[in-house]
Amino acid sequence: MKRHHRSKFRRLPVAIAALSSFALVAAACGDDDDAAPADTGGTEAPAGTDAPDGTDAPADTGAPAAGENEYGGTLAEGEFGESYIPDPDILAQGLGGGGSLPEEERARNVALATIARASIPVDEDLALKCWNENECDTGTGGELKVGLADGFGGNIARQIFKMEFILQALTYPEIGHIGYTDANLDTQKAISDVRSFAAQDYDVILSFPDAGEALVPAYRAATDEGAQVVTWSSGKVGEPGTDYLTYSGSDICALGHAWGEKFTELLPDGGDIAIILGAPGNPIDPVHEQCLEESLADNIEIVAREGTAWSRQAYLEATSAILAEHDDLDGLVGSYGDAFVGAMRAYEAAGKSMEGLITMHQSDDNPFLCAWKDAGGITKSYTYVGLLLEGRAGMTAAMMKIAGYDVPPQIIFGVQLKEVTNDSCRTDIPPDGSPSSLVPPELQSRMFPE
Amino acid sequence: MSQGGFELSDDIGVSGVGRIAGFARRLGVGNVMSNLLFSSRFVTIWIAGALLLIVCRIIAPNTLSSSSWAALLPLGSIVAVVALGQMLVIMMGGIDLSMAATISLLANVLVGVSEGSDDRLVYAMVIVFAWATVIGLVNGLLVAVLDLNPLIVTLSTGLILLGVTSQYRVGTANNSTVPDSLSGFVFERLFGISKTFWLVLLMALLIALVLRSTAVGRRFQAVGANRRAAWMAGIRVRLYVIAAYVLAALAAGLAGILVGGIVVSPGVDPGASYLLGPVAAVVLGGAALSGGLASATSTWAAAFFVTILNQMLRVLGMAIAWQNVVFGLAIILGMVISGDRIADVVGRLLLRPGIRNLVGDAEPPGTDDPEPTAGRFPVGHAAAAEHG
Repeated sequence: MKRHHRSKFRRLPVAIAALSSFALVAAACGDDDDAAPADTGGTEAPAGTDAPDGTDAPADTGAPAAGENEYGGTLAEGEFGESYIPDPDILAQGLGGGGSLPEEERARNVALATIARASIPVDEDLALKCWNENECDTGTGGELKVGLADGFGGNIARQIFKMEFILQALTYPEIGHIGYTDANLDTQKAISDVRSFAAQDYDVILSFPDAGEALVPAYRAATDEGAQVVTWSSGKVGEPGTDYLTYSGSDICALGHAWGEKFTELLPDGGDIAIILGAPGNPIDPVHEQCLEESLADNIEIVAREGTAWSRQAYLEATSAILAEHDDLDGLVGSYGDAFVGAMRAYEAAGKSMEGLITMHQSDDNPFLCAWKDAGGITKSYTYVGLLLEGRAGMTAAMMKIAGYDVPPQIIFGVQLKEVTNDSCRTDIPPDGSPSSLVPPELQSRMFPE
Repeated sequence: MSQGGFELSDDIGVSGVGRIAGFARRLGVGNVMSNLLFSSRFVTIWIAGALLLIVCRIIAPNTLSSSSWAALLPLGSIVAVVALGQMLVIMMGGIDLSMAATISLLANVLVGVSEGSDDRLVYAMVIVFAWATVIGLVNGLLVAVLDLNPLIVTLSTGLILLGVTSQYRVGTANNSTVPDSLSGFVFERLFGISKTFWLVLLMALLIALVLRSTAVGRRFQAVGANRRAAWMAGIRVRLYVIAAYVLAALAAGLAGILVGGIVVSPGVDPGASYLLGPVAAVVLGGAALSGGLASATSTWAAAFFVTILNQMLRVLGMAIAWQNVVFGLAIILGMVISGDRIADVVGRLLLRPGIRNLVGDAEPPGTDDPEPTAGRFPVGHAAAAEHG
């Protein structure tokens, strides 16, 4: 997969990276980059990067193409007000590494700017105030108003999403006001929240479309009124790029492929695996499963599929049924890491050991990572990342658009699996926190105090 | 109410069945027939359960494997706890749709108050039951005193509780697991069987005993069967209605504790699985939705019927969408062949001329043979209680 090629960028010598960056900065200094018109976005990129999907990037050679920085960014430092050289540690934490950066050139630039900006220190007291009060003035005197119209804010992940958005917004001095609404899964309120932000002349509106396509008319209306509307989720609604600016999400199929490749690697003699699916009718599972099957070796068979409601109890019930029929599994896929704790309880209830079992997950939820450690780390488990920075990417995409960049209609992050180890369980964040969140641990603890 | 029992109407509802019962009881061979009539509404689920086990044995034998039972027993027991609480409310002619939300809130309260410490477990459980009492009192007062529709009232309080849970959940993020002793208890075994199973079985037997053999239990049924008659008999009707909602909320509290123990760290809505399953169990257990008639032991059995049916469908590898369809059809079928309908069918059989002549020749009923419970509440309900 192409994303694997991208990961080779991480191995580049620092000296080459620095030289490339210096050359790009020097080249860009001749232009008035901040004043670039919207429709010329991307055209400032140096030659050799004109393929829309970035396939001409020198991944195979392990060296950046001319005009690319070591992470594949094609914009010069400072263009559209952003840096495109992220802190490697933050990149590893938020995305699991450079291999998860988007393939598409412009999306990659937005992602790099997002992560680079995430390392800018902000006033955490102010961030906490905004988070607690759902609305705040940033004190910068900036003219822009940005709002997060969340479809649901009642779980930890969404509360962290909210803080990621706030922290990212606080890095922009142009932003003077931050707003937040929680529709609590009420479709009418979700629509009303988006329209309300638009009516209040918010310049940027981020939204998680829990209500699905029902929100598209509201997004379209807000866009027509001049707001930059960005969504993030596991699947797009409406027609991003037309109905609204863009959406950011993960490459669902790539994750299925990654799981399949890992099973194939770890089970050379074949074996039986089972899949714990999510809620019936969800659009993610069929893609996961199809792509998993595409990359599985022929001697590995999917012997059971059980649907759930993405809850621990549902995972427990599903796993119990799977174990009743197949008590000697070699592998188990449970995309929601947190709920997989329920699957572990099913093994416990049945008096069966999980030793040697290979498990695959989408999210690296701390409860699972710590439960894995508490259970003695007897399974070989792999996770992706929580992708909590999607909200940050949306924020930065909107700001780059305002600065004149030609933001792509989709910002799709790639996949890089991480093996779970004893160090994966984080004790410096709340038990329900996310290890891949870019919210500082001490701030997470202040958000969820003892 | 007809004491003589000879004036039989075509409308053989609950009161009709009661008349038939009175008729049958006064006959020399009456006891057997009376038992047959009144147990018919409750015995169906036991027969259905046996058939389900046979079907499982044939088409999905692994449903009955030891590893399957290891999860089925505690999970089915939680359904049974909620169903027993729901049964008490349905016996009052009401329904409590807030139980699922109550479970969600109280499971999180348990986590928040206990802070994962075994030392605080008992304290946390006391708090859980205290809150359950408050929730039950609110529901009960709204239904019994303000005479509001129980379906709407409990749906509304359920929504409120879900909102409160979402907010409370944010604050408990740093203390989000139940104490180890609780998470260990739910899967611990006594005589090779889950302790949770024994606990809930004991609870079901206790409820059955109280309903059948105590004055309080009899009055409870009387209020459910006919509030006006119960009120005229001097029973404090509102008190019993409120008590039913409080007991249901306490059952939800216990379920919340057990759910917390099973999943270790409940999410925002761990009670979602317990909205309709327990109601289905109460109906399949033979309870009359109009109130009064119900059997704790049959409701307990029906809870396991529902749980095993679900497990069988999963083991068969059926897609979850089809699982829902088959499960729904099974519930409808169960309703068709249980409760009032089966009692009606048995009652009509008893009224067939051949049987009437047979029993009539055996021993004519005397009008001076008062039914012990007659005059307090319908005979049918009293007899049903004996099978509780």
